[in-house]
Amino acid sequence: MALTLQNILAFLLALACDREIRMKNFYCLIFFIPVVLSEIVVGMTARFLINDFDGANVVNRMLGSLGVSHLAHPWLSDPRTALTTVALVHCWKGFGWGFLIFLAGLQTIPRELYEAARVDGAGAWETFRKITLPLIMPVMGLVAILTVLGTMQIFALIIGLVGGEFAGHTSVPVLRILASMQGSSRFGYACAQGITFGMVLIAVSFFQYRLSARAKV
Amino acid sequence: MSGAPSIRSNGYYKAKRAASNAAIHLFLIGVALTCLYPLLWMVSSSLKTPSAIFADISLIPHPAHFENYIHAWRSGGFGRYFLNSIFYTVSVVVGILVVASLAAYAFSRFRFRGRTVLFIVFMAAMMIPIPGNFVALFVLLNKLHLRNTPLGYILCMINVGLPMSLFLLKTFFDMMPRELEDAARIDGCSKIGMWRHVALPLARPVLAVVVVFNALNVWNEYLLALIVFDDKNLMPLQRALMVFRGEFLTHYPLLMAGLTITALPIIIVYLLMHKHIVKGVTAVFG
Repeated sequence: MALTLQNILAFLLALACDREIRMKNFYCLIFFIPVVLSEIVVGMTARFLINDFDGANVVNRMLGSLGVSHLAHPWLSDPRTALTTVALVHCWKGFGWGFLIFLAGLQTIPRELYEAARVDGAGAWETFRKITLPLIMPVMGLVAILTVLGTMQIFALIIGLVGGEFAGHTSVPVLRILASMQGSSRFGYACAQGITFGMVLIAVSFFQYRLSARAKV
Repeated sequence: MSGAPSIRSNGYYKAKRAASNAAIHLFLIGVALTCLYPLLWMVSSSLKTPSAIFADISLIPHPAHFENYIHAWRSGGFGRYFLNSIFYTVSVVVGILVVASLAAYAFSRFRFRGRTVLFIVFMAAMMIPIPGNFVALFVLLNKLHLRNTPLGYILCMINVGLPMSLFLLKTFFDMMPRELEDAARIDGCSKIGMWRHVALPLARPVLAVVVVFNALNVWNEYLLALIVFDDKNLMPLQRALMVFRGEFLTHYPLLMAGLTITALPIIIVYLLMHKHIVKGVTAVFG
């Protein structure tokens, strides 16, 4: 869902921050702030910023002042864009994780390799493709799977943003389970759903464990 | 003749470098702004009147209504929820610290039957996420009559934070040199004494990571609070915010004040403990 965009953004940012530039620590500090905020806080604030009928509609007004008012849209109340909007907000909240892990990964790449490449006459793009990318691949796998795990478990964000299942357009596993537990109090069914969902999550994290074990060797 | 091109290319590279640096800074600043903007907006609209909040979308409220906070704190009930959240967070973190450090020390130092099996069982529990088992948890809490009680919530949250903390601490204790404890034993220290006077002081950096991560986690937790609590007087902030929104849908400044009250402690803790958070992420995933 939010996987690709979020991680590309995180990777680009980490790459930019990996250089010796000023205010590096400041950027690191800022980028992680959305991560430490709770999903409810993020969801509610974002709803207020985005929504038109019970919010301040700031996003649409901004689009208007940029001269593209035909792009203005009831983002959250339109079933077609509701899920995309949720994904974008989730992406905003989550990219700090990927950023931090990527940065840690990039900083383990020995500087000598870059220097050697420069001595051998490799350009910036070539250095990136032949050194940075292969060495960062395991980290990328790790971040990708962590993002999948995190994204599959989102639900408080959706509750904050949309207030629940929005005619099935923003339903996610956890909301489903909750609905069958509280709505119709079918505990057996909810439990079965929970176990199935848990199995999927365990399978993914087992895969992640294998991957990170291989990356360490 | 031979020097001229090299000087020019030197200047060219310098200019190119400056341009690329500027582009990178522009990109980073742009993203940083999008990170901060919603937060600033949240704070600024918590200081506006209900009508100004829709009419005026500038960031600086004029005039600033600080009494929104007093209202939210008193009549909105956020004072009580805030104290609830503090109470839960502190109890859970203390609980995790005691149990995880004792258990990690035992797993690391003592040889007993079933040690490995037990540790694997603990770690397997880490793999099962809350969304996968909260229905069973709900039924269990009901049967134990612990639902809708602070104790039930605290025990659950201790359980949530335990495996990760245990893992971090055990890894640390495994790397700790044994000579110090041998010296302590010769001086007549008991096993508990070694844990208390040798292992814990040395583990302080790891303990800081454990504290920060668990505190953030408990403070931001929503799902368990949703299934455990029905009583409004017991709810932590996250849960209370949803209830508040349900009741006072239109009073946005108060809601925003509540959101700010909820977010502020986390941001302060984060800014103070940023170093430990980075260290923790690197330790777990690096």
